[in-house]
Amino acid sequence: MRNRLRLLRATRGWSQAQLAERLGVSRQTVNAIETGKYDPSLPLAFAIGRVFGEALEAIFEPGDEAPGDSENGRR
Amino acid sequence: MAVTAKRRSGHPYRLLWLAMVSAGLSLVVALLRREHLLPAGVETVAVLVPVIPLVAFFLGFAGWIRGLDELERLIHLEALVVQFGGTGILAMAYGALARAGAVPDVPASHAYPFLWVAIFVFWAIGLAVVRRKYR
Repeated sequence: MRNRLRLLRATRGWSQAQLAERLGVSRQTVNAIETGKYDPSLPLAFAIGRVFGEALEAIFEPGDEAPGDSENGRR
Repeated sequence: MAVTAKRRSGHPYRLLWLAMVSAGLSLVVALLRREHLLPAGVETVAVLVPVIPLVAFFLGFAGWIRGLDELERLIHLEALVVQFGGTGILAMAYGALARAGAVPDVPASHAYPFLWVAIFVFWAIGLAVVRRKYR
């Protein structure tokens, strides 16, 4: 799954640590989502949408993988 | 909608208290056993007293895991797979080598401390490897 997290964060001038604090997760989690190494759970994805005031589909978009292939960490 | 689980307040202190009490009990039991002051039936149960801090440790560990965020929990789950597989394979390989006479045949009552070492070493290796994957 691809996402615009890094771009959205940069436009607001937030560091990864600041975004992580707003989301209640670790900085490593924010970094892993931005680099596409980890796909967030649905609750976390909604939390990200809420923090940026954007709809999920405006932040995340499906990658090339089939639905069954979207396992985390498989890159 | 909770992204991260919250730790229950007071939980670590309860576990610390339990661990301290059981450590004190273990000491008393060890002294009583050394002086042969415990009846046979009680002694069998009393030797299990040192297990209580271990139970407290794992309850604390489970609580700590629940307080982590979702990626950290996934990392620990994958590290536990490495730990489980590594320890199991090592124990099986050692057992096979011991039966073949290639290594000393250590009885289970003496082998378990080494098993704990293997468990923690493989957990640490698993954590290092999996963390690297998500870095």
